Amino acid sequence: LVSDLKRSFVSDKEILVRFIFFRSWIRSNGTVKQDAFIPYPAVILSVTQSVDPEAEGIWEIGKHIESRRNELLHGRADVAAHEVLNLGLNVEPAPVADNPKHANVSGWPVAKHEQKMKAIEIASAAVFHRVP
Amino acid sequence: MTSLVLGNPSISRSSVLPIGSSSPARWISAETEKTYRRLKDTYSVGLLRKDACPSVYDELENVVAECTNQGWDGDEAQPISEEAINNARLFLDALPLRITPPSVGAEPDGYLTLEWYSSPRHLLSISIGAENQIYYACKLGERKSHGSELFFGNIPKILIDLLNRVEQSW
Repeated sequence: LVSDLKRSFVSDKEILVRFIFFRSWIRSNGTVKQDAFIPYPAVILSVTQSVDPEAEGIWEIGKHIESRRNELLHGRADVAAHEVLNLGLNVEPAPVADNPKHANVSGWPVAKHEQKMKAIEIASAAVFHRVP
Repeated sequence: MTSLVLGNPSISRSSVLPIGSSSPARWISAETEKTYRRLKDTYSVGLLRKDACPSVYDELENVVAECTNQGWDGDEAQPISEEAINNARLFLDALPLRITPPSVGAEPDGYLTLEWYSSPRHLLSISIGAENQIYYACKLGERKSHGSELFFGNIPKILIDLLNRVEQSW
């Protein structure tokens, strides 16, 4: 029941966007490493929810974060919400001032090697888009 | 351990080999000679890897250079510690020469990563931090393997096995 309740926070059809600010997280073939999906500092992963990232001005949110954080935005990794939910993780909306679509991926295991395994699965399902 | 012994100028070959003419002493001497040669060979492999694959050491330096400040990921990532860098170098030195050099990365919790990637379904990622515990996760088709191992300079057998399997998928 609890997991059903948590699943209701996000539609299976939604896309979860992870902005990439670190160059070495992108492989030379244009895919994204699991490193980009390791939860830290709390055991949650920051993402942005979107039904249609191209149509919803997702890059504007990324650029806004870039200007605030003083790190270069290299691109974004899109992963279908159902891929994350199927791993037993939760997606909880957590709007912040500069990103009303911000959400946290929670429910991660405590052991680091288990987190890595889930991060590999997310990375395998993610599609990278270089910043325009 | 190997590099500590052989890299220490105060320990010469003569100080390692025992002197004696009795049968046990000769046997000990022969065995010690064999061990010394094995150690030397192992050390040479480390040197050869560094000479033959400078790019992975360069990549390590480049990644580290980008991870010196807190928040290098645009969020709250921890800087990579000296201990983590030394452990990663030690791991690279210990890799058998026949193994393809990995891609170097970093995780926001301050771990360096070494990744062998064949496809989204065949890959191995290892996390190396300041402590002597390394973490790995591997995907080989439908089979998944993950865990942690102690690392004191010798690569655990399970990781060698997984590396061999990932390489076979290339």
